Amino acid sequence: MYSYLYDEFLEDKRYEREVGVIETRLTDLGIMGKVTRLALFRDPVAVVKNEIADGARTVVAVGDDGTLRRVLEAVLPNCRQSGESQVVVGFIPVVKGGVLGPLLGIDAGSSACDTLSARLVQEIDLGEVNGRPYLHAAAGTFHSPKLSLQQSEMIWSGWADFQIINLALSVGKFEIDPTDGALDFFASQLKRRWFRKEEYLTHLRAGSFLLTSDKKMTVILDSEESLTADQLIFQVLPGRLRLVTGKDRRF
Amino acid sequence: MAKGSGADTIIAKGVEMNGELRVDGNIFIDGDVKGTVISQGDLNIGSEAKIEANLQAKNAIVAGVLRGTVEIAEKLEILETAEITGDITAGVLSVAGGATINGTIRMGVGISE
Repeated sequence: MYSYLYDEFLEDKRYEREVGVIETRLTDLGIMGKVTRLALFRDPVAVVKNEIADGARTVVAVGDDGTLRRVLEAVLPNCRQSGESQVVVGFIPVVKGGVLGPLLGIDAGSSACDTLSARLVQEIDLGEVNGRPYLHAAAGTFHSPKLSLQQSEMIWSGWADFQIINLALSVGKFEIDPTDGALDFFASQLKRRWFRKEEYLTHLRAGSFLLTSDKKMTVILDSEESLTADQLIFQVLPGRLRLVTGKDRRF
Repeated sequence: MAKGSGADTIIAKGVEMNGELRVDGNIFIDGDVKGTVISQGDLNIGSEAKIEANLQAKNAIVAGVLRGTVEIAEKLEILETAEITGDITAGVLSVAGGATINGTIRMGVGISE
């Protein structure tokens, strides 16, 4: 059974036509299901829990990247409680311009319904920072950061840009695989060398690590939500998410 | 590991690393490292690197400053900018003119044996 979670912004008149087209296509494909609208004071975790209890096995985020993030955060605790991720997550991006749709091979609008109907389910990793899951990347700029791995630590002097990536097209020559059970860690510093600036890029792959700094750190998750903390504990959640993807997915 | 790239792990110039680092693939170091580095693949020590560590790898190219033991199963290539203080074990050794080596060298007895 399909359960569709509509983002609040879709109530705006300008999305009425697009939502109508999507609903018609879902009906044509025979995969229409219960529709629930996410709202500011409606806890998505409770909504998803109820939907799963009512028999939903595919929870579909309808909206934008932020909607998918909220649904992921809501689905994960339910997966943890059941001990396995039986629930499949689907995504219908209503508007173009998002990051996650192209990565997952899902076009915006009604063609996302066809992708959903084809039901190509992939088990993929999720990143997690301080208990908050993310699908694509966490990014921030930190001062004199220290990275603690299991048996070693690395220290940067001055400001450095960080990206901790789970799913992406590629970063330079590095291809990112969200099914490899590790996060790709990139740290970049631009330093002046004679009359030009050079980028010093550090890259490694790890399943878990800790980032600290001499200042508070703010990290942006999936280009959407920010998290500020004294320390950032990263870990990969291997194969935690069962997601409907398109055949043009980038992994 | 990352496909299509020479090094899967890179420690850039300006980074200080302490401790033990084990990698499955290739590694390039241009920063400061103290401790142990073990690579199942190839190890490349850049000309800006300052290493006080014990190194193990399948193949290696050294262009920087290195103090510690080096155990290379197959080929070790020491470039002209390299300054090595420590014992070296390698299957095959190549040393460029201008490189400095202070330590004992054992060849043909790689770490895999």
